[in-house]
Amino acid sequence: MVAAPSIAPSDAPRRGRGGRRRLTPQRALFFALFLGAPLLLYILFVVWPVLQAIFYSLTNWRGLAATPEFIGLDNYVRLFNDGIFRQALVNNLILLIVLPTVVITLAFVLAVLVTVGGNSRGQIRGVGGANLYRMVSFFPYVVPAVVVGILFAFIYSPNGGLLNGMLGLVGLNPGIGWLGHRDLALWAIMAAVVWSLVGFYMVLFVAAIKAVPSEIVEAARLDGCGRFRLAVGVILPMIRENVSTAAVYMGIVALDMFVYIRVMTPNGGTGKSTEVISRYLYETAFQKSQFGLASAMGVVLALVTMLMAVIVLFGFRRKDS
Amino acid sequence: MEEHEKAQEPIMLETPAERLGASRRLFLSLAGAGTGAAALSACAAGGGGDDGDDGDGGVPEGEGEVSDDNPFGVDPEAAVEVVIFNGGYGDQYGLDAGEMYEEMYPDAEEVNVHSTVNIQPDLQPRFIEGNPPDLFDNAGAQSLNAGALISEGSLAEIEALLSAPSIDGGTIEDSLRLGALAPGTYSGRLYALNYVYNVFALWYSGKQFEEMGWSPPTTWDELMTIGEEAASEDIALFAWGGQNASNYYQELALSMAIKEGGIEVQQSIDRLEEGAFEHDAVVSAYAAIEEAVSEGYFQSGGAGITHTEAQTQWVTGEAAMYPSGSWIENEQRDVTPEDYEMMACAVPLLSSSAALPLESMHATAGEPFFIPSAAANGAGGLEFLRIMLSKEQAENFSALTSSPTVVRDTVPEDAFGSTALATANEMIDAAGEDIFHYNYRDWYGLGPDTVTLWTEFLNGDLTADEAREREQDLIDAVREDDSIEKFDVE
Amino acid sequence: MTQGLDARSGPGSSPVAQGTSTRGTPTRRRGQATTGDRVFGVIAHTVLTIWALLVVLPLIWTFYSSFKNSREILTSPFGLPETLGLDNFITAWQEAGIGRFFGNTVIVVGGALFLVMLLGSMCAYVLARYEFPGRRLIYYGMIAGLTFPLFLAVVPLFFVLQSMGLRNTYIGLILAYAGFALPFTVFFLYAFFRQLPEEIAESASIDGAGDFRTFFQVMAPMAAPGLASVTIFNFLGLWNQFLLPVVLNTDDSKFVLAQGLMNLQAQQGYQADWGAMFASVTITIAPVLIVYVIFQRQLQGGMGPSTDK
Repeated sequence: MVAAPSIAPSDAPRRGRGGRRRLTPQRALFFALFLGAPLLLYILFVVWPVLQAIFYSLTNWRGLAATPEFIGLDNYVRLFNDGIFRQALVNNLILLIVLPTVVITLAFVLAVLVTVGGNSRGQIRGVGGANLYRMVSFFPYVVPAVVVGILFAFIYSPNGGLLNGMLGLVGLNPGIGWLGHRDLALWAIMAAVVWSLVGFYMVLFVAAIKAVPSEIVEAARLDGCGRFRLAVGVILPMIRENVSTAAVYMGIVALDMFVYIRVMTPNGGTGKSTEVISRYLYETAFQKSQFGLASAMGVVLALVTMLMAVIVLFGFRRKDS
Repeated sequence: MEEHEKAQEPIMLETPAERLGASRRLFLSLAGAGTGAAALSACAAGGGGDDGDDGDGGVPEGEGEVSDDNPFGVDPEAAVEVVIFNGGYGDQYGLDAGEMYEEMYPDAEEVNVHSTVNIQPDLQPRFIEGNPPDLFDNAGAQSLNAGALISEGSLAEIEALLSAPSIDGGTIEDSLRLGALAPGTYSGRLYALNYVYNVFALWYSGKQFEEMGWSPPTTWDELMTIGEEAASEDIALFAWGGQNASNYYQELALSMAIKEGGIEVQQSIDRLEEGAFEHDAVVSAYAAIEEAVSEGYFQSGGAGITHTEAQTQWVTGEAAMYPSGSWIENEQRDVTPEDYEMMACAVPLLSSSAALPLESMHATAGEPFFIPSAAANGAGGLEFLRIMLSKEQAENFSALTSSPTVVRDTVPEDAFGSTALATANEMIDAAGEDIFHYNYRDWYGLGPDTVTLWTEFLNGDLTADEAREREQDLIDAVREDDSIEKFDVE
Repeated sequence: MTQGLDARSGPGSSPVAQGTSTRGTPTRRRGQATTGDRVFGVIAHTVLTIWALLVVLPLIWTFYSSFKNSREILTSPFGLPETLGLDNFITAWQEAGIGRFFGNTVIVVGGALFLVMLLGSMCAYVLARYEFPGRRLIYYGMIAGLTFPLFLAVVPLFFVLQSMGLRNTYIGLILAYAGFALPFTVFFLYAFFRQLPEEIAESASIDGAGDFRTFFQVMAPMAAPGLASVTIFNFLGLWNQFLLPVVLNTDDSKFVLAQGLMNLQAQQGYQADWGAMFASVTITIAPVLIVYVIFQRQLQGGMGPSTDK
């Protein structure tokens, strides 16, 4: 994981010497298999369906027997006049800002603590019991998202729920249904996602930090670098690529959220307070049977996701140069 | 041919449970693309078409000899296959009917009754391949789009069933409850037999009411008095599941409004008329709900939970009443205390000048059974339905599920010991012909929107006027959207 | 496999580090805690402990609740179960068919994992180490796949599988899983293959190894740490996969776990049995958790390949 991918293939690929050899039958077979097979799979099962969906987004297809009728960009016009879609988009953007920030910050702090949080002298190491903390933190990631949703729906339940129960122990039981509260529900869902994913990114950052040459950290310490500066000024830049990759992944999660939202607030929450594009898309396609319109939502979602990925990856790269 | 064109409109046919709220269907199909697959299927069917039968989806005819004991001429040796939706009512009733079929036709090669929760995904490919079962129960979150199938000619008309002799004497038609055939009738042709009869009511615990000295409210004011007394005992008047079922209270409000203002209220809303939600009766019904909200009669925290949790709070005595359909007892069976005495009463009247009597009620038939036109043994399917509609099997169903069927006089006095079924049955008898039902929410897929709106309303975030305005906006948007087909309201 | 800060050497150490290495320096002082260290240590442990509790409590609560009946669950979060029976687990196992779902999940996730790792590493290798026309196009085309919402593709995909006769088959599901995991896999493995030292491939080539042998016998083993970590991430991604099986795999005898659980939750709408629900959740989580705890050391190791960025 430490080999953080970057968006662009570098200009001059490292080639084996073989790269310059002429095309022999054996090499043709090699390319056919090594490139052809994955591409075939990718094109048939990913690209082709996506292209079809883009086409449907320009039609009024209802997913029923009738043949799709081309209606140009009507679906897109309609989307942006749709209050619920705008609400969903806003919620997705809130998620996009909050979730990656919180998850990555928390994961980074925890990762620093278990790697270089130990004594400031002597060998660089994490706090005592670091391995245990690290192991436990990863637990939630083995819980499938569906189960996270089911679990937190129970936790947030106003009556038998764990959260109100715990608050009740200290005399603070608010008696509210967290997931039904217009202003709190989205945050409650975000907390569940944070719970579920921090451990994963923490383990990722731990591996990255361990790959930072120790000499650099030691040199910084000799220069009198405090822990905070060490973490933010020395380690963070060293694992920047990992952080940017993590940001892209969290961004993708924040722009999707389907399973979490669907399980915890099946209809998009009180007054659509937790509506997101993916859930609205689902409802439009499968309940209202407006597949063309739903496809347009999907296209918008894909464009937003791509834009986010490009901004994050190139944003981080620019600082580099 | 004209009728045929009509039938091409994708008529959404839901199970009774779904009729209450698409929300519920949404919840049940939480899995996501369940209903999605339904949409897909309809398309796949488009390509498939049917061979063999003519496009009319003719009445199945058997190869056996027609007699009074075998009115459809079932080939006694032919195998029959029936698919039951294994949802709220289980599948035992189907298996039991299968045994009876076997007794009647011991030479039948096979009587195969099986069940699934995924009707559409299981059956769609079989329609395309041309080997559908002989009878299926098109219910649940993942049901087939009946309208599309009918327009393809993939489903058989079952008119013949009505004039056939019932196993208990008389014709089948005579044995059915009022309104039983309406939901299965498409443009005047009968394609489905809806087996279960659903009564919408206010439900309560007989034991709790007795202990508290309450009697079932007949007017809204009486209901509010109960709410006040309950509040003094720290009991909420209403439990509610705001995550997916807050619009059970929309059902309550609309039922009260229809009783108050008459059937025109329902027609106006189903026709998506301008100002439908400004009718005086609707205004008073919503104002009544608002009163209950502001009095704090709705269980706190209800916004955050689902209907099962809310219903569990209700049966554990934390709330006094709950509006629902008659499936409620079966749904809550595992968590309801034994001495609870679940009972139904009619939705109260808003004023003394109500257009309909107190006994009038919201009811409809559900659990539609269809026979594919390409069925190998369609006559066998019809015969199976005839068996299901026998008193013996209908009683068996009610005994198993505490729910009434569309067959008259099949719930005995003691209602198999179920107070819920007994009181629902009394309501049916009392209502006579004063039965109503509204469709707009399911026709136009407004379930989720009404859920989120009603959760806001019941949470005190919206006033009654705002809630009505938003409801009106919803139907206005549908009416003005040319891409959505509109349905005729009779 | 922990390099850098932990084991300050190894094949993967960065070129910078190698250049200026003071490897094995004898000046390493004994770790001695200063007052600041102790204060910081208390804070650090507090933070970590709170986090660990936050993580563990819901899981323990789930386990605990799976012994309670529906009414007990919905009335109090901490109340003791009346009887300490395994009824819920038996219901979950027998009626809900969790065991079968588990088997299906192993087949589908296992098959897809093998396929995507094989195809993904092959593709990433060619993209990373060969120059040919269209290389960039293919690379960017793959990366773009990361951003496609699955929703967009899932309905047409249904028809693709239907027309190939692969719907409701393990093979169909495996192919679809693998297809959607491919961009991620290529994205990551590309970086791994790019940083492998060129000399080795060259010497292999001089030894007369063909492209195939160079890959399978030289390069792939060298990228093993990367392959291992991507495998783990893919496993978790596939294990979490939800939308694909729900739409494409509707034969309940082939349901995977996420689907089965969702179905079970859906059935809560018909007949409330929260106890069995909790038990199913426990059955779902426990085996993976146990496997993780046993193999977590390898996992940590596998994630720490080198960087030469």
